[in-house]
Amino acid sequence: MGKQLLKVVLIGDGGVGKFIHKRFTNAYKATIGADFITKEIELEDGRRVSLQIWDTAGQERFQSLGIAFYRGADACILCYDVTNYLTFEHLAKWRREFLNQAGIGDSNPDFPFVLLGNKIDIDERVVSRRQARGFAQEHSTVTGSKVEMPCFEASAKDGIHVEDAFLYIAKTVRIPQMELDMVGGSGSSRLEWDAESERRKKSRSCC
Amino acid sequence: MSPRAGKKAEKPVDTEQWHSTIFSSPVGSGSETPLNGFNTPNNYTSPIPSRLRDTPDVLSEIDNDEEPTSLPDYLFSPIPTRRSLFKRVAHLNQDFGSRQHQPHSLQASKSKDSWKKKKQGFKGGENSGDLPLSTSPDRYVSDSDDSTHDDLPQDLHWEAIERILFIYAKLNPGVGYVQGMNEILGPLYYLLANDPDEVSRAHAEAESFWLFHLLMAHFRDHFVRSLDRDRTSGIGSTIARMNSRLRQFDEHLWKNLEDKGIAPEYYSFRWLTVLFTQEFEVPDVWRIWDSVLADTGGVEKDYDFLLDFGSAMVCHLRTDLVNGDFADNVKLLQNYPPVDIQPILHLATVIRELRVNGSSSYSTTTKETRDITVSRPSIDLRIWNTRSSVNEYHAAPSGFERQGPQDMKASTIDGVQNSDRLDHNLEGTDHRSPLVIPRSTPLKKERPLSMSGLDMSEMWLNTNSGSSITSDMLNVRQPSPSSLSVDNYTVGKDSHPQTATWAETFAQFKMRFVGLGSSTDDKFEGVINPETQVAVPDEPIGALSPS
Repeated sequence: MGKQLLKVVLIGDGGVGKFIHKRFTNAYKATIGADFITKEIELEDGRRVSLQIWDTAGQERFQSLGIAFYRGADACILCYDVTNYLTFEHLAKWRREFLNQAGIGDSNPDFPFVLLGNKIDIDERVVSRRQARGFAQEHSTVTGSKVEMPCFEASAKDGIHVEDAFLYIAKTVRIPQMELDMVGGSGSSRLEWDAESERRKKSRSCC
Repeated sequence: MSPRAGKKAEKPVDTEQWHSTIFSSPVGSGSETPLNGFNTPNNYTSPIPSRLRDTPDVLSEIDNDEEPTSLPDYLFSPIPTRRSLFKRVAHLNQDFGSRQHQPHSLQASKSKDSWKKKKQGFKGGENSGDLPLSTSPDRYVSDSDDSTHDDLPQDLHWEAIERILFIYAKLNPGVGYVQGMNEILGPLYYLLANDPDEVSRAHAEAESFWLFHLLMAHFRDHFVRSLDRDRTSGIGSTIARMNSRLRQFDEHLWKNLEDKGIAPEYYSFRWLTVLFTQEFEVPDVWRIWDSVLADTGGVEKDYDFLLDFGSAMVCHLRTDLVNGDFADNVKLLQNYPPVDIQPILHLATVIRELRVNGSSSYSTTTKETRDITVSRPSIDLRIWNTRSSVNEYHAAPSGFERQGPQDMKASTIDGVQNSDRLDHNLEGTDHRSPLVIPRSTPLKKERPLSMSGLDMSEMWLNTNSGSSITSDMLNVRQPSPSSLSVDNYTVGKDSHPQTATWAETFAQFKMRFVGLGSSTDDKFEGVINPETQVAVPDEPIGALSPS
């Protein structure tokens, strides 16, 4: 059975709860740099997808390091806090920053973004679902993307819908064979590594 | 974590008695220094600069709902866990860019009454000697709900932490508050706030502020975004230097990581930014800092042992790294396994020697095997692959007994030698327990990398295991004339043996850095200007420099 490897980057303001992969705790430990997690997802069709998730630090100071972590990403999850409008407002900036630093730019209007609103367990919502969908639509039109950015809402505390965004990415994002052939530019180092790791672990194959 | 915290917590203190001796709280009144009214025997010079003392609004901005006459009760509350110490800075992290100070987070903790009630509850509920937080911290510091725990005593520690970080950010607008600074402040504050000496403890906030300030004078560039791409300072250059050091020492491993696409930023960014505080337990952090801070006047920058140690951490996991793939490696390096740090320290010492003395004295060729060959026979690096767990210390011979306070003084001269042995000479030692070193070991007059010669981790383990494996390393090393005054630093030695030793260690640290402490030594009066240098006096350095 083929196994796909996807690099996913989580971005968003500090404190929105990008640590959705970790056990929820109020004992807050800020991310310094970026945390690395892997997630193995087996889809209904038997396809196995391995997600390599970079949970990046939210504080502004750490953004200049983004380039090290964004490079070669296959998907990006934009995180915001539904109880904090500022975090939602900053998403456009985060998105732009990501595209610039990852070296994607306008070359790939279909780069898969996912919108994820966190903390829906808190009863002080200020960002509505409609607003989130509006953001998604707006950016789809701007970039001329064929697929509208999907929106998810989750509660890391209660563990609601946390997996949905990852599942969606595992289902929909595929590295086209073409892209693998045309190794170069931003993703090269990672893809080269993929090739090497395939050699080592024969069970593995991209796509 | 919790039983450790328990052992270290100070015994309950008679608040009434304290009431009569202590006057104004560092918490209570922003306009007063915590030192007012103290009968300091040594003409104590306040570490707080006049600009702070004379600007009450800086502090009262935070403390305006606190009665000026209130007791600094928090000085006696234990800090249950490291995590709880940092919990309250969360709101600083939550602000994007951390520009605003959110007053609401301070409100709940001000209700002294409710804390007193809880405190009485503690006393009623618990038996003699043990503070309840030490025996069952989870009861009080559960992660469940912030609001219900905001009035706990440790929250007063949190306020002190917040004030320190807040004032630091205000005094250094170019740096501000950056996530991770709390991690550096934590070990300093923890140590000082657990000082067995009440007077010292009362100054914990001020002293940890200045120690933090001095430490940051050297490491703050790591927190400045505009220096990230700078060639000579900033985190980017530091990471690059560490990476080249790793390459220099173990090219094969370096190449292996490089081939897998593992950028050094993936792991060493956090290591170096927060000075390993997120990777190791606090006692280990003290031990590591001890070596790092002693590494001054070297070939490259001061405190470059930091990079030696970081490289050693990578090398320590060599076998696993070489055999793992990208994901395995990054996960392993990011979640550093709970290992015994002693082999890493030894390896770091080797790397440092290589750096200082040049490559001639060492063979850096490394093989695929677990054996790392280094030409100097007296250092056997097999131990750094043993990955000995902390438990192995418990099996160490218990022939050494803790020395009493009197012996401390008598064995001072020996302390230097002990330290040498600890750090440099492993010949003839039991590799399963490298800390136990026979007295017959030939001495070396090299510069030890330990500032104090005091092994924190062993202390710590000894404290917790209950076994008496503490050897003569307990001796506080006294390399500088100023530290003679440590002999006078007898406060609380009998009643709090463990913490007293930490305090002694740190007393030296303090005197070297800030000129504080119970010292009448006229060499250290007042505050060394933190702007000009991270002040480790030249004298001991000269004495310790490698010939």
